[in-house]
Formats: sequence, C-alpha cells, structure tokens
Amino acid sequence: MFDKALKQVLFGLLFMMAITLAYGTFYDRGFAPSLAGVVGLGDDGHHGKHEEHHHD
Amino acid sequence: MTRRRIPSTFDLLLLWHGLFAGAYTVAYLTAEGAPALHEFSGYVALGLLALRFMVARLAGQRAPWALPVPRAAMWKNFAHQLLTGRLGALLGRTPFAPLSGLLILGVMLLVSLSGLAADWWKWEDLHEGMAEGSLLLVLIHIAIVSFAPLLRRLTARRDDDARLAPVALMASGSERHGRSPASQA
Repeated sequence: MFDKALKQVLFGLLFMMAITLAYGTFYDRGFAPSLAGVVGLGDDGHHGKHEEHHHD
Repeated sequence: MTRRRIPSTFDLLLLWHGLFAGAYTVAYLTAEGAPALHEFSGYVALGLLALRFMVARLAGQRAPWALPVPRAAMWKNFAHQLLTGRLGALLGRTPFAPLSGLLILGVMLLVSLSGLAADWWKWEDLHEGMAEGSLLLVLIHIAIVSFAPLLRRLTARRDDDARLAPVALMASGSERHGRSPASQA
C-alpha cells in the first residue's frame, strides 16, 4: 500500500505541476516564468526592476 | 484482450491523496515567487479538501472515505501489544497514522481558509505562519506512515541475509577448494 500511495503522490505532484504550468502559460506570465515558479524559483515579477529603481 | 479493472473506492482515495499532496507541494513551492500560480494551486487544494469532507460526510462511518479517526479500541490494542513486549505491533498499522492524517486534514483546512482570507482581506501573516507550521506536520505524517514499511523492509532483508548466509559460506568454501557450488549439487 505504501508503494501505491507513493506512486500516486508522485503522479499527483507531476499532474499538479503540469496543470499549474498550463495555467501560468496561458493566463499568467507565459511558459518560462511559470516553469520557474512551479519549481520554486519564481521571482514575483521583480526581475530586472531593481536596476530601474532610483533612490532620491 | 486485457480487461481494465474498475478502480475501487480505496484507489480513488489514493488518487485524491496524491492530487492533494501535489497541490500542497506546488502551492508551497510557488508561495514566494509566483502569486498567481500559488493562488491557482491553493484553490485546487481547497476544492479537493471540500470534496474530501463532502464525500466523508456522505460515507459516514464507511471506509475508506470516512474521516480517519483512530478508535479507542485501536489505541488500547496497540498499547496492550507494546506493554506485553510485542514490538511487532510497530510493523503494522499504528493508530498514529490515522491520527496524523486527521490532524493534517484539519490543519490543511485552516491553512486553505486562511489563504482565502489572505486573498480577500490581505490577512497574509496568518496564512504564512500557518502554512509554515503545516509543513512540520506533513513531515511528521510522512515519517509516521513510512516508518513501518521501511522497518518491515529492513527486517525482511536481514532475514534474507540470515537465510542465505549458510549458502554463501558454502559457496565461498567451495571456491577455496577450487570447486563451484553447482558442481557439488
């Protein structure tokens, strides 16, 4: 039973990653940022904005 | 021609478990850097939880969709076995497994609802704190449910080694005398 449950958890993880990636690709910021987000490397859309920020 | 087996209610519960674990993991991974994906996976997790509680309500006391409440008899039996020195009880299904499952269901419901509150009313600190705490509970659950199968596997391997030791000894002895065990047979 443990092996079966473990297989289902891996399947569930891959399935959820796939549908979240599909959602991000079509309804959010596109494929590459969504892929980074799904694997935990997302940058919240702040990439490159720090350079543009000017201090008074 | 191969006939496809209709999935049992237990198979469906395992599928639900897998999907929920996946939704939780993706929600955890996307929490810091991908808010839209975090909300998406969070809503999927909330939907799966709603489905779980609805089916549990319909199922009543019927396994396997009933809520995993460890019964008093299960605790009594487990304690009796341990107190009488039968440590083999640890290799079976202990009452800690359903208890951790029940706790996880409750905590995940609170985490998901606090996520909903964070989405609607910006109560983010509460959600973040609860989500971090829930990870600890998930790790404890994994440790509890994997303890018995891993222990069983280790003891089975030790038994196999013990059973095969005389054969291995015989084989090494034969090699020393320049004969193969096959030729002796």
